Amino acid sequence: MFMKADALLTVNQLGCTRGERVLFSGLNFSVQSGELLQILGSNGSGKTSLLRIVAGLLESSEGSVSRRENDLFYLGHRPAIKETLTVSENLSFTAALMNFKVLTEVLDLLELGSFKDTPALVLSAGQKRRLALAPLWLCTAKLWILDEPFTALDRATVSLLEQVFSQHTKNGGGIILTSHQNIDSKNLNLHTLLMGQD
Amino acid sequence: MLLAVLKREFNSAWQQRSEIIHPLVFFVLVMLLFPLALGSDPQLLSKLAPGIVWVDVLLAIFLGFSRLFQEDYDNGTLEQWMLSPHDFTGLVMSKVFAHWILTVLPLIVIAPLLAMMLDLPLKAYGAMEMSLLLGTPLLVLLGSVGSALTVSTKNSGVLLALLIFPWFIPVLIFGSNVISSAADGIHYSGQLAWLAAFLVFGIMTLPWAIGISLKMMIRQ
Repeated sequence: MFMKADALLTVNQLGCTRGERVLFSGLNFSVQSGELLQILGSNGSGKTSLLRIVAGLLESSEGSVSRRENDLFYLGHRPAIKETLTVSENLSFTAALMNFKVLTEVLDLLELGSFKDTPALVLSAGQKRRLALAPLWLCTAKLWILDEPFTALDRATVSLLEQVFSQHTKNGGGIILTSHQNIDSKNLNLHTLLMGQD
Repeated sequence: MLLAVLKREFNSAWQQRSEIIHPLVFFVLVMLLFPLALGSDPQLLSKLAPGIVWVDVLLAIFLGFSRLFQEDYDNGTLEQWMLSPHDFTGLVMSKVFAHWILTVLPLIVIAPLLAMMLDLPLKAYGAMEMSLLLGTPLLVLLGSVGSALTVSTKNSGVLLALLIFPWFIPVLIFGSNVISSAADGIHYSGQLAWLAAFLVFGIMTLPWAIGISLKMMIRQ
């Protein structure tokens, strides 16, 4: 299939049907290196399904997705945090799973440093979210697929996240995310895709 | 990486010791009920002991299956395992192995103490331990298939029992037969060999079934 030299992700005539309902069909787009693609659309328009298909967690009913194997970081609604384990145990397990090294500075940056040895059970929703996002500062994956990354985050963390987005795209990475938030686009090569309008 | 999974399971079990203790307590309680219900005739108890030990072990192991993959499925861990460069089935099997060590091995360790209460003849103890060591890993593998298939079902207890108990029957028959043969002083190596053969067959085929089932559940 045709693929541009620096396309991290190409989606071709993609369609998704859940039960009897057609969520979307004939979707074409690509994410080039250096780009951030924001998927917009009302609730139930298939944003999460689209991201899951792109990540390989859901079968599409038609069309194809091409991207490089094992070169993505996906974060869905479920944060993959084991609540009985401590914050640092959770992070080091994720690190072993995705082959990156843990730098404890990240926990300080995300204001989780003092919770290092407490079970994730006691974290607030926003703190759990920050822990789940911590791999963004550490992993080497080129393509990031983020489902509502800004949920439950305070304003300071949102701007931290925007910083790491611009850093990642400047280093040749690509991001595809869903969010209802207006992303500050001055340091970003921002594209949008509106779903559920056909 | 497989060690990382084991370490994760052990750390988590240490934080939540009840997960290990509950099956153990259940195992002991059920075993205590039999002498009370059947009377204290040592000969009768000794005759029934092989069956009681195996049924009790089976029920205690079954307790853990409904939640084996539940938490990791609900919180998105299994999704991440599927996306990681490591082999998904390998990761899942390390978890299953940790489950056997954490919840089943303690049962095998205390089984002789409880068999003593049932007046099981001394010469059958070795046979009992061997039958449990060969039989329980297979029970855990079979149960994991059921657990994987019902991971997205709420209140899967009865469904899970209907799904996997038929597969437990051969293990139960051969396992308790090993102990009663040993108690009667008959050769039991044949039945042990059957258990070993079942286990080898299970190790060859069931990890694949567990991996496929979980992937199917995540992708639906």
